[in-house]
Amino acid sequence: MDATAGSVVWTLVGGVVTLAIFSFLYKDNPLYKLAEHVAVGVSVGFLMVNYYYTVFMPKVWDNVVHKGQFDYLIPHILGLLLYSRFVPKWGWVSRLSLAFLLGAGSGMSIAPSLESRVLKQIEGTMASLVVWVPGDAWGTILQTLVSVFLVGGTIACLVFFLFSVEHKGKVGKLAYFGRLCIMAGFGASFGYTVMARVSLLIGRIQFLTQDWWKAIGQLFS
Amino acid sequence: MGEIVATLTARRSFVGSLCFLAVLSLFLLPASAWAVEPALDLTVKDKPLDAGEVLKIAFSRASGDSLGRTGIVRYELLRQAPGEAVFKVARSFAASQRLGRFTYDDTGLKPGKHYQYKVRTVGADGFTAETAPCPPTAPRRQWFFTNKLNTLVATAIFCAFVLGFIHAARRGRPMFIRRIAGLDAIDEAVGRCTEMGKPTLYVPGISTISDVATIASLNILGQVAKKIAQYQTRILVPNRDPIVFPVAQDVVKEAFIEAGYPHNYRSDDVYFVTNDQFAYAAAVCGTMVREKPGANLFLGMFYAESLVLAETGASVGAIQIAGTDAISQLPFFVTACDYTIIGEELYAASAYIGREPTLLGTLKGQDLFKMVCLGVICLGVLLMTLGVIFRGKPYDDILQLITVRSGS
Repeated sequence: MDATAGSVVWTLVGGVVTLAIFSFLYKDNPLYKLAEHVAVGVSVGFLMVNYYYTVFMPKVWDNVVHKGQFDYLIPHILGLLLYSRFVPKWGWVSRLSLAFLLGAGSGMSIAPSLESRVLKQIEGTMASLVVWVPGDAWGTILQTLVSVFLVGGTIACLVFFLFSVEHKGKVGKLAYFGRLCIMAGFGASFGYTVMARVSLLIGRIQFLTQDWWKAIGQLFS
Repeated sequence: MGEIVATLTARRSFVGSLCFLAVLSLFLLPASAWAVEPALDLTVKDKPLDAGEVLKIAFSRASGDSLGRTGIVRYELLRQAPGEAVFKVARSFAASQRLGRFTYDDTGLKPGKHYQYKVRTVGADGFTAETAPCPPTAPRRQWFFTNKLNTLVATAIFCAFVLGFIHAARRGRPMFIRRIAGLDAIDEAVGRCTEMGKPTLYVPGISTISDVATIASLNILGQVAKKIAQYQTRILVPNRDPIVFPVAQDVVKEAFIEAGYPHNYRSDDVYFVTNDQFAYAAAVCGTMVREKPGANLFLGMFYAESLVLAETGASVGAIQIAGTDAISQLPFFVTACDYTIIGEELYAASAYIGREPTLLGTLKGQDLFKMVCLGVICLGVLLMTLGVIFRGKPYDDILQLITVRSGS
């Protein structure tokens, strides 16, 4: 099979699988089940081969066998311990690896999370409420209002996420304002993301109406 | 005829004279007209506050070089690594670059090993000139990255608050937590499943174990699985990450044992699907339409598959509770789910559901830290505003403490 014939075949398969997945919009059916199982099976198979060549070979085999760096055996052994789950008597051994993974995962994520999600946000919020635009009174008023809204909105959102305080009275009103700000943000994000998704749909429809259709034509010509 | 011969002879002698002068001028011209000068002021320094793998190199143009217009084509930075006998080109710089001084961070070096550098100036005519080699310099590894001191202080304060409140909670101090509607609904959802005799579908997100949202989700999974075990119904947990999968299995198993129903635990109900995002989404959608769960809980980190899952779940009539800290996915959950746990509420969920003193203490500690953050923001905003009003900068020092500096 030459390259052109191969690409035609794969385009045809791609189109059929796309339609099979789209058929779920009507209801669950055997065609969708077939596409779903093929997708799952192929992806797991690909994952195994991919891990073998991108993880096992360069990180374990090459380092240990070719370079003699035996410290790479430690994570490898930890990984192997996970398989002890298949032997009920020794299943507890896998917990050592899991404990290491959870502990290291949690520990390593604390400082970066604090930095990116807390300190950076605090830094970004610490803006002057008054913004002077030289020679532009309306500009000054507008920018000042924007700044007040930015700071006020952030503080209100933070108050919304305080769990120790009942949302009543002034705190309640501030939290409500925070909730409104969050929802406004969600609305903007929703519109933005839907536009991106529509472009994905357009891409698929273009594939079906152009590439796939052309491949069908080539098949019968 | 004789006149013509005399003219030709005169011309020949004139051309000959010109050639002689040209050859003579080549010898008489100063060397700088055809040779090139070496680069100036070569410095090699260890990059501060790093893992000891970088040296910072800088040098200036050769004297007389003006953006490569004076016959110099490029500068080559030559490096002699430890154990090597010759200098090799590490980086080449075009002389036409609009730079007064060339700088380069030589990365991937070995900490503590000595490296030597020199710069070769290459002219258009192939002439070169080299600087003297710099003294051997070794990149040094620093144990403490002082630019991250603010993060350390913040982490220490946060940990102190959390530990303090955990201690207080263990001593029996009452801890008030306000009502969170989305979390109250989890009980309702599990109860509904029990009444309908249907399983609960729990999706712990598609991220890895190192993701905070995944860890929070696994904590919630423990509490939810415990309730499900008490109600003696089923829980289905499809997993995308191969490492999250065994953790989820252990969490559910532990919950069933704690609830006193270890025999009701079915290891096949907590299963690995695939690592591929959309194949996973397709499989979970298939599970929803075939198993028809009474409740779908999507708690953890989600990406583009969020709406696919939530829409399918809504179409099968399940009560849906979603929670994530992925801001871009929350709008989809808000629109397609019955209850949405927003961002920080996800981290509070396990404490809220379980009411265990340790977790409650953690939650209270987080709250106090948030209040401190609020105070710091208010103080910073005040100083920034005063700074603008009075045209001064009294806030600079405060801002310096908060600012997260970039660096390795």
